[in-house]
Amino acid sequence: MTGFAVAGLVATAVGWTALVWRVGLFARRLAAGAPEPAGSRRDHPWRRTAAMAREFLLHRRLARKPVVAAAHWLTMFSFLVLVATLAEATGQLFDWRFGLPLIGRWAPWGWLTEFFAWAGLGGITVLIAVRLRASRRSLGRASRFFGSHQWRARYVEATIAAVVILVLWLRGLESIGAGADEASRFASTAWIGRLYPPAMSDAAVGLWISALALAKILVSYAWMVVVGLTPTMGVAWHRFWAFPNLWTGRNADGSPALGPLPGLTVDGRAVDLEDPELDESVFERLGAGRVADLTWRDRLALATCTECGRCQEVCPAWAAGQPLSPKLLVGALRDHVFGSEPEPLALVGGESPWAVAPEALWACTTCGACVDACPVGLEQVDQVVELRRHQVLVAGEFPATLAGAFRNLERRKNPWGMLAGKRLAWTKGLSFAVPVLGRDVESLAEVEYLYWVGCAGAFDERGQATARALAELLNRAGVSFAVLGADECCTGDPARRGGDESLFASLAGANVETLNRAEATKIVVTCAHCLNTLANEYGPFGGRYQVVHHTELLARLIADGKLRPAESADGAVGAVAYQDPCYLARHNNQVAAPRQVLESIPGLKLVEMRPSGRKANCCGAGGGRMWMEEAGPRINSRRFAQAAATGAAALATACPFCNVMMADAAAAAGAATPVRDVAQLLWEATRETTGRQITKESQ
Amino acid sequence: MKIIVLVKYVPDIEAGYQFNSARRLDRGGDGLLNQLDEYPLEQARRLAEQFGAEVVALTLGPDEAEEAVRRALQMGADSGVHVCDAAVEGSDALATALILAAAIRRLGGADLILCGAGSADATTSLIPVQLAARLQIPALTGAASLTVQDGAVEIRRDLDAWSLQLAAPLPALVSVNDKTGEPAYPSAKAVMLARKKPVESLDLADIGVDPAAVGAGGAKVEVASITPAPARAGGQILDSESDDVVAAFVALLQANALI
Repeated sequence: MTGFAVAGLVATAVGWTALVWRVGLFARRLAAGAPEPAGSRRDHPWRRTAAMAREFLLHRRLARKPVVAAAHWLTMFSFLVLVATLAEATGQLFDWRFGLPLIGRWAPWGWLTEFFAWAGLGGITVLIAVRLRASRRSLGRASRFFGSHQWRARYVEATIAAVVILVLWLRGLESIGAGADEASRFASTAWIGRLYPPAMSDAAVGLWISALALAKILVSYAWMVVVGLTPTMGVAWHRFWAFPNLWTGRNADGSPALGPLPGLTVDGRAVDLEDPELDESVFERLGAGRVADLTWRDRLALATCTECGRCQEVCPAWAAGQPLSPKLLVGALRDHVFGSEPEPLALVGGESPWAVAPEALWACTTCGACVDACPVGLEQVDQVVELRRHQVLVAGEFPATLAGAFRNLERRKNPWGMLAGKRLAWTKGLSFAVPVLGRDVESLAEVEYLYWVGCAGAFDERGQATARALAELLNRAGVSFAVLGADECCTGDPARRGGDESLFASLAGANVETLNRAEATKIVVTCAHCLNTLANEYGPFGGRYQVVHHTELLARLIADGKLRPAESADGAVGAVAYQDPCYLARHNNQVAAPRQVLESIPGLKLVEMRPSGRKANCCGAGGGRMWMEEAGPRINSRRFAQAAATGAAALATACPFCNVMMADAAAAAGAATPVRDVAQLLWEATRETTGRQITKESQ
Repeated sequence: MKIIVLVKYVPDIEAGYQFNSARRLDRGGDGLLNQLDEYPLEQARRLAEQFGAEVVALTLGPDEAEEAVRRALQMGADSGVHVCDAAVEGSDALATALILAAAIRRLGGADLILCGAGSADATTSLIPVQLAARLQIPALTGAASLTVQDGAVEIRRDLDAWSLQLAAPLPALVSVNDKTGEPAYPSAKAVMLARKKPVESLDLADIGVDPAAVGAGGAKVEVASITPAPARAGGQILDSESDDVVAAFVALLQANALI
């Protein structure tokens, strides 16, 4: 046996040992994870397989960056195809004329190898260039790679580049040894052979091939050793873990983990905090406080993260200069799980070297941009809420301003702390009397819709103006509706996303009881958060309703000719930008209706912010952030600047929180830009009184 | 160390008070733990953390008042005592202090008795000093901060022009105000643990108080009448986007001889 063969075999043994040993460690750390709820993560196996295959073959999530998606696709497939060349190279150590059995000398196999080697080379070159460009030092925090382990990525890129170059080079040399009848096999590499002197001896060719085959083997197995020694190197490991991670996503259809939040579970079992028989051992285990609380799927997801930074790039808190980056949060949790030993200290705020900073945890608006952007199916919002649940339910450590909102929710059933008796204050000044359940109607069966006013509609001045506009529009269109008045409570969205599942459960329970007693079926809301919670989160409490956002209902009424917006004599509204609420556009995939309503208004020109629609930036008020102090730079100011950049004369919103945040930002910027709900703009265009300029009176 | 925290169940002030024919506050409706009592509870929780002290929440009130004790247990008290007796209704502050003193003696006294700056309903702030007098222990009132060291309690009381440091040996009574530190919002874990904490119910016989000495019959102070405060006259709002509004405003000030 030659020295080449001995060296190659030793490398092979060491490489595979390192990889298999490490996969064993992964298996143990995953097995040590808490269970996921029964019936989740593994239901609908065929649908899951199809969704995973679709993502694998079509790269739809990666396609937000089309060049990267194409380059990654080619690189990925070149890896899959060229694994076979590792076997080929191993054979060449023993006999430089070695070819794979059956297909080794088959021309199409040669073409396939060459195609993917060139494709891989092209792909990885693009990826290297993209990384270099996107991680320029001058970009600082603006780089999506800021805080990523760059050497790890560069090492993986260098390995791929070296392997594909060696594959092509080897083929060039093989073409010298092959006969003229086989020349067609080397369609794109024969020229490399021709770079060598024409009369090379077989021995010289053999030596070159053996040496390059050994180099290729060493490069490949060195990679295995390095990644084997570095389990936190997701940029290398994702080529394995992305498949099971995508397959076990929260939604079997492969859609991102947005919309409803999963309920509170411990060891995969639902926990009822009201249950007096609840076992005390459960008290410490609510939410995610330590490594032991992370489920096997949490751990798999953490191991899969490639640190590509697409989440960081779209995170509104990070962009505003706040301490939260979803990527860095995931990295911190990953290091707790996959260090040489699992880190037993608290995940948030404690002594652990990787502890997540509380300021980062509480900066999240749960806008879901990170979840939507993640190509490998991480569920960052769910993860953040799990951490928050532990901080609130067990540790009792969370921002005092949020505690104030929780107290108000507990005492007064709304985050503002207003009295239930004042829930109808918004109806003052309406042109008709709004029917109230229990006073004017006995059951909701008597009307078409329940208008769920929401706490903002009831108590916030801007929300009240929206509520009035919608009520007038519904009245004008002849749509019968009623409101709950004092019996309405907060849906519990801020409590749930702030981590207080106990408070959420009590509010949800009370609301479902009220709604079911009133025989509610069709509900219209003016708040995107109310929409998400009523439509998606009340099922487990026995509440199933058809919930429609007011913009969708208004679009329908316009299409049916029941509302006819007209241009007034006072002139056109002009350019209006529309702020997509996260819980409407991203969490619930509704972007068309508000635009249809705006575009139906004569003289109104809809302009789009960048980004908009499903990719729109958050206003900063989600996830309970509405009631927390915002330390440092503000998210809404950045978003308002994007609105101002469109040159729009007014800013339209479709959620009371966006409305307040954008109006605050406009005021802070000293801009006179009016901020109005879509319903207000439509009412201005629909009522027959003078003018529909955006007047003070319409507020 | 043993700490007794006095807590009170009060009607929800923002829901509006109702008085009955005997000019007494209707305590039957929705109520809650007097918010100012959350501050002594928070101080007790911190001292318990520091010294491993035992914290008892004590209340006097109708059946519903147990809710205030339950809330106190969620906020960190180890056990609760609820003094409840039909004969108590109509008691004035003197009688209330008498009953609370008897209850505290029955509990074997305490090293430190903490109470809030006042109750949201009666707002007399008389109980702390009357109770301390009955128990013959020093009373430090209006504490903006509180520390316990070497068998003594020291407080800071902020006046308009000065800040005083006051100290007294234990046992002592301290009333604390809202500057002592924001009460922690109880975690679900604390709420669940509170369900298993004991609440003892005592009547006047249990604590050896003669029913004739308390209640409406024993009261020295009588509520002669209750008159709602006159509603504030509505202000005038000048609402216009034009510059005339400034001139109108100035004219208004001049007309009323304000400038």
